[in-house]
Amino acid sequence: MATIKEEIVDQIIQGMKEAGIDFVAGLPDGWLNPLHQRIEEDPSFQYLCVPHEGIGVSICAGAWLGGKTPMLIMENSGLRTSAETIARICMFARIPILIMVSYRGEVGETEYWAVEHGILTEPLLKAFRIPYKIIRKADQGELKKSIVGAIQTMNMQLYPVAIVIGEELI
Amino acid sequence: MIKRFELLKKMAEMIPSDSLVIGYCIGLISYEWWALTRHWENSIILGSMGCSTPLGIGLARALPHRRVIVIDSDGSTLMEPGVLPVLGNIPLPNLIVVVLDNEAYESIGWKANGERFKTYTAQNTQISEMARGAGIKNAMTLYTMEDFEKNFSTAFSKRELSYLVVKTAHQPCQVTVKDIDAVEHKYRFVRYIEKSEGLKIIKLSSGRKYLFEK
Repeated sequence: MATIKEEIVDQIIQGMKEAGIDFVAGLPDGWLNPLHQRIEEDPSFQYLCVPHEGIGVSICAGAWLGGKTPMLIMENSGLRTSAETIARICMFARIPILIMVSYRGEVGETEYWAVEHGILTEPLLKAFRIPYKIIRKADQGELKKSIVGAIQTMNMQLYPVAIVIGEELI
Repeated sequence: MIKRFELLKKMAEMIPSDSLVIGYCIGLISYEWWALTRHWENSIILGSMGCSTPLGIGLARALPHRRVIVIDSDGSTLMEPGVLPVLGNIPLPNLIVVVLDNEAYESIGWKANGERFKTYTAQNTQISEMARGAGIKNAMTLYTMEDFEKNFSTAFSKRELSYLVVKTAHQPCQVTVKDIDAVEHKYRFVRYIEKSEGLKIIKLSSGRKYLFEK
């Protein structure tokens, strides 16, 4: 099973530390599992596995109220299941969290169940007006820079920002 | 049976002023809680059904030295029951969850004759049993004000999650609709946390000098 490459995980972890991310809620998915594992094992992060992505949004929002810099990490299908919570907490009250999702269902996808994930990812992010960046290459520290930039934007706008992990990084 | 407004009044009396409260998100409970706590900087009302307890989990994990109290409901818990195994497995010794269980969709579920649509807790479902099954040891259902007072008071002396489901009677809303939204509540609450914890949470400024200044 294809998963995110180890050197990409290194860059993401470095970027998260540089950006000051210290609280992560996650629901494991096929592509990003090695990243979940590294985050869980690293004492720089408080990692909490959630059984539903909407609960993950609320937990991250609560952690932000308490002074943490939170990230929610999940498959892109989680944007659908957590949509109501994003709307009612993050959109309505302008509460910032970083959302990192895998871009399942893109061209090159091998799994039948990921079709809707691909179709709905960007339209949903656009509907929420969540600024997002799709990462397709990780050379020259681009990935690290993108995570630091995402946190800056999130803090300045008091609104969620999304990082989408493209198929090229898998 | 306990009246909802009396229970909320009792809670407002009993909660120490340095605790943090996630007030229930919406409907009658939120209006009455706001009316009782409008001067409280340490209480916030935010989100929609199913958000209150997970908001409390995030807050309690972020500030483990502060006592966090969540007000939730039967309708919300049945909507997002996935929160129960999180409570049952993650250490949350500073969290107290109080679930007001009126066995109905009292704020929204009107029938033509004035009765309300019932939730499943009116029949075979016991939220405290669901909680115990999810791994929450200190979960119970309470039926009298005396029992509530006793157990809510004990919860503050424990370093263990308390999950108190309180059966409440239906009662017309005792106050007017709330006149604060989640945006204002967020700023009030976060500025209080910043002040009481010495933290900077709202980071709108990068701290740089004005662009054209030498």
